Amino acid sequence: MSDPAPNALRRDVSPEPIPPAKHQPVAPVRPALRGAAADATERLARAVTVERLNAWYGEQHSIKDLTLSFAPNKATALIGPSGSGKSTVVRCINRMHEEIPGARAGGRVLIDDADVYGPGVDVVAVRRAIGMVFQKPNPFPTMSIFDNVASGLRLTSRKVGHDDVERALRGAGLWDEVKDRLAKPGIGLSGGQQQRLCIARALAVEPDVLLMDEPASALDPISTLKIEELVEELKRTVTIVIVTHNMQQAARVADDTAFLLDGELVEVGATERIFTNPSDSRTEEYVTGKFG
Amino acid sequence: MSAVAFAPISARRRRVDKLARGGVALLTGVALVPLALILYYLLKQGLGAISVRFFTTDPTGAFLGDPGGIKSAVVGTVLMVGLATAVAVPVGLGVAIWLVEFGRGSKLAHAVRYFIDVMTGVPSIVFGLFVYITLVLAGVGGSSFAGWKGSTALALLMLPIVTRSAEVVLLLVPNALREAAYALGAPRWKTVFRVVLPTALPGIVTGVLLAIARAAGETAPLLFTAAVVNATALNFNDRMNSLPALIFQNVGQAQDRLVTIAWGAALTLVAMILMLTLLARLIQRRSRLS
Amino acid sequence: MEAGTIASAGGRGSALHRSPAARLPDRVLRWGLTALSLGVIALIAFFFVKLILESRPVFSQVGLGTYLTSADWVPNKALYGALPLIAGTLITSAIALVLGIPVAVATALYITELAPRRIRGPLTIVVDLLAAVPSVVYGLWGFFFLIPKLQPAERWFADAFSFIPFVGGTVTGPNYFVAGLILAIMILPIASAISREVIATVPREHKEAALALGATRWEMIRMAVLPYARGGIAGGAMLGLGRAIGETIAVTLVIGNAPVIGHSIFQQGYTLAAVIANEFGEAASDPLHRASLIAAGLVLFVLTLCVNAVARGLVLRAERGRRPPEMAA
Repeated sequence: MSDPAPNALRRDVSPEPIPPAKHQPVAPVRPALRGAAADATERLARAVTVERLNAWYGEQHSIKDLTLSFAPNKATALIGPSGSGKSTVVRCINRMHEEIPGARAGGRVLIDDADVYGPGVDVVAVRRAIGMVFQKPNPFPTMSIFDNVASGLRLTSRKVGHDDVERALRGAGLWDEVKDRLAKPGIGLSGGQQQRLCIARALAVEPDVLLMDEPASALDPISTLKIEELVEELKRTVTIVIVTHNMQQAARVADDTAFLLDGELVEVGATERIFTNPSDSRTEEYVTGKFG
Repeated sequence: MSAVAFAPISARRRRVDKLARGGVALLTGVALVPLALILYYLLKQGLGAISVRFFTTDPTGAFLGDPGGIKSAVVGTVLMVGLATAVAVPVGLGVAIWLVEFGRGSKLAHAVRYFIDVMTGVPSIVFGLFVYITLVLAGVGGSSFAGWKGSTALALLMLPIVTRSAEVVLLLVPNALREAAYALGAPRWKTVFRVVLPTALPGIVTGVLLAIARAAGETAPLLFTAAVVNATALNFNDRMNSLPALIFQNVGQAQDRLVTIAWGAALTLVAMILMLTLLARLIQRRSRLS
Repeated sequence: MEAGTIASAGGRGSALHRSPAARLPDRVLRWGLTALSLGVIALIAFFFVKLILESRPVFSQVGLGTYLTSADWVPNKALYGALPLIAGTLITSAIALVLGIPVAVATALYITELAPRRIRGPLTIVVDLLAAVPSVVYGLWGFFFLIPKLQPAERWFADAFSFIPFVGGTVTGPNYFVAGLILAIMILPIASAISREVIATVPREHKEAALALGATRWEMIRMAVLPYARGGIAGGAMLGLGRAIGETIAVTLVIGNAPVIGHSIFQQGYTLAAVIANEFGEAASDPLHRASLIAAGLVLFVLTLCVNAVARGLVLRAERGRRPPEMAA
């Protein structure tokens, strides 16, 4: 399904009508959707704004003063050559970067108006509100499919209903394939299914933002396609940031694309424009395949 | 701006996290207490006994009066462990070399490794029992208890330790080294002795030192193979004293001075073992393979 | 695999063959070492057979069933029921596991997951140092320090919690509990070392998955680390158990060596290993007594064989990881 020409685009997606409620001040607690219909309708997702972010691995200055916005209910792709810092940026958003020994970050990352790095912010709460899907599918090996999806929910409430798990699995497009074997081990699934299981696990806790770090790079083309279709669906309820080294994928799924090089933001804009008419010469060289 | 959008996690979860992590740290601290106590008591009770005379006089065995020193025990331990090492290291190393260089992957190698594993699990007293039945009862060598029989029991104890650790180290030697030697036309035996063994030597020495440290501290196998005797014995065919046996013998004594001897001997033994262990770790750290 | 020398000495004969004499050292080495390895197997097998043979007198005179189930161990009257010994061995080992394994796992968790980086190395060295103390020194320390110091606490505990079975009643100085406690300390280093290894191999991706879901550090350990590592931890515990079962000298110095099954953990007892160490002297002149001690050694040997086999199986399975075959996509 991938178009060989780097400038190829998917058909234009007409923007979803943005509910007027978007511009209201932040509510102290997110409106809970538990108990709502199994198919999640459009929901208020949050905007993510990275302001003057710096990140280090020990002495190595990896992200340099980066400022970037991610529009709510949209998918934004981060592209760039290896080592450009795409994964690092994403991991700074949900504060996973600091889990690496010797790594630290500075700057602001705002989810709507709340700074993830603000004083007194509970890092655990941040990660609960922001979901992450990793490059290599990583369901918990000792848990069943059901338990995997429920694992995030179980952290906060003892009883996890069948409905919650079903909703998450439907949201990940996996329900029909596993509904008869929820008790089987999570790692018994194929690679593509495992990744969708991880997506379900992340969706189960109803995050505002979903970070996807090269989610399909370890998968076969058919699974990749399924994941990409999923992104299209998920945009309606969460803000998606997707890191990808596959430019065709960015062109297919993302509304906006940001090009990173050596830890700096080179250019960001609507995907179509980035790929057909980039402003920066470096962007143009990258998207036409001159390097990277 | 405030962190209002991130609903903080419940106090209960915070509490559980803190308690659990605190509990783990506490238990870790608990684990360190016995070592501290033992070292403290060793020094407190044993230092008083240490003197030159302590190491140069045999225990008298007298209940009253001068209890003597621990010379025969030190000599006995050194001799018996030395003999055991002289036997266990070539044999253990030989088996390890066979496992890695000649028999690797074969069914026989699996069997050998299985038996070596079995040996590591055998309690030391059972080794003593083995030797007791086969050598002592039968009066092999014209004596019942003898130093060399104690050494045999110790050698049995050391064998699996030496083999296991040597095998691990030999496996770490990169195959590329062996192949380079073969490519130069070296026969198997030369490759093993001139290339593989020298590379693996620090690791092997580490394993040997740890085995020696283990053997030096063993009491049970010696009780009924070398027996306990007061006089210094230099003939392996005689009964031989040893530090662990001496300590064991004096624990139950009501006489304070004998108890002090026991503590002094214990301090000596632990010091010896600690030095061997530290030396082994030092060599291991400087080894190119680890 | 034997390389022929191309640049052969003197150019005698074909350059690609070695003379039989030149091949001799290799063959000597190979067959010598093979014989050695076979010899080791033969030796163990021989010892095992010898153990069985030498203990036969007691099995024929007393009977294997009686030996294993009778609670009367009175050598003077030629009564050889090893039940108190077996019970004592199991009781002290159980206490050792209950007290020692949680601490071992805690140290392993702390060192690999929670401790500040700088103290991990020194902490590891200190925990492993416990293994350098010989068992006779543990016994010495237990006899002179632990027994008197613990007795008041034991008495208080036995009175305060006498409703718990096997706790109330008289408290003797040497008893099962002290023996179990010392055993717990002795198995700590090995159980901790194996647990550390297994916990360190938990893949980072599982830990990250748990953290990214919004788990606290402890929740992450519970979700991702402990389930993954539990097989290896169990294997380490079993190895510790094997060690505890066979430990002789430290136990015999603190357990009281009374051939009875105590009614509480604070009473005296006996173990298979301790009886051998204590009574072989008097058994020298009594063949039946001697045979019964050797039989005790045999039981001990078989016990440790089984426990270690289970341990090895667990550790092996943990090392191989958990990868069930993938189901159809």
